[in-house]
Amino acid sequence: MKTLTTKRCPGSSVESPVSEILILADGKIFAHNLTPEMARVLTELNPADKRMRRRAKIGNRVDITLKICKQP
Amino acid sequence: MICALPEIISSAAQSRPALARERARRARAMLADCRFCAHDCGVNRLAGETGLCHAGAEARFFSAQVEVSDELELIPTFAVALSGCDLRCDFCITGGSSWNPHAGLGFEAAAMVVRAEAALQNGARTIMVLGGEPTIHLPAALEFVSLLPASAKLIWKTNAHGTAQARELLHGMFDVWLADFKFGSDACAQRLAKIPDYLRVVQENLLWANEHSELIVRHLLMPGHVECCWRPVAEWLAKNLPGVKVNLRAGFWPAWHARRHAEFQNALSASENDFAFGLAQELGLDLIP
Repeated sequence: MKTLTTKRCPGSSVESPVSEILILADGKIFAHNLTPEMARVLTELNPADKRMRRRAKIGNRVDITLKICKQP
Repeated sequence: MICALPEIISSAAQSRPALARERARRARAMLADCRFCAHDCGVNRLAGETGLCHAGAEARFFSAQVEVSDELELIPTFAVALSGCDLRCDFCITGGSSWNPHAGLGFEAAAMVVRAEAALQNGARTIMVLGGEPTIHLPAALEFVSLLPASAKLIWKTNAHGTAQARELLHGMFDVWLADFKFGSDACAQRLAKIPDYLRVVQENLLWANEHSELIVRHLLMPGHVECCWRPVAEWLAKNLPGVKVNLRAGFWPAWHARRHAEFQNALSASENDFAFGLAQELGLDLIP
């Protein structure tokens, strides 16, 4: 199991947001440190998951410009 | 007694930031004889001594970001995870950073407040301080609070293994205590997290937190621990904290050193899950998502 590590954005002194997911052999997905972006991704993956959809919807309240790390 | 009044009046009149500033100073001085957690080590962290948590005088953090994985009523939250912990849970999902107080980056309260305020302005509902275990970093946590807006809703995410001394410093600082009640037996706490006298300490903290702030209790269902852990936890909550919000979490995954334990080779079974939620319903617990 890969453990959570601090990752830095290139050229930045701050760490980039990190979520962890675990996919079991039966296809079940667990998520940890779920960011709004990851909630959206997981909702796309399984639109029938109402609980995740709700979290993604709540996450949409956060302005996406808040992203701390800008990709080059 | 009249002699006790000035302090009470003084505390009530002070804003949270001002009070936090004063408490942070006291907390930093207390590092010379650290007794924030129930290990009660009494080491001088200011002089470089370390106790069971291995933490020094300066806090570090391994994550600071907006998240939506916590209780629906708290998210989106700007979650700041401080490195290091006083427990040694083999199944810790952030074990590498939670067990290591040297992980991540140096915590600088003023810089973190800039990010927290940006998160609030951009839609975050709350600010959460967690770990690891934030109790071992009370000076840094209180410095952080002292610089945050008094109106910000603050969450203290804790393993509830602190001392009366820690609680005194935390009184009135956080709006919500989000506290773990991980084990329902001292034997499981000792075997899985190397913690003695777990139940007494945690129950004392939960009762205090419920009296002095809003309390949400979390329990992570663990494979093979529904009867020995969840049942006694649920029964104690129903009896001693009726009406308290409970988040029963079913997303156990075998992280960190979990595979050292035979029962953690598999995920929680559907029957364990169903039984656990059925028990909560039977006991009338107020489960929240």
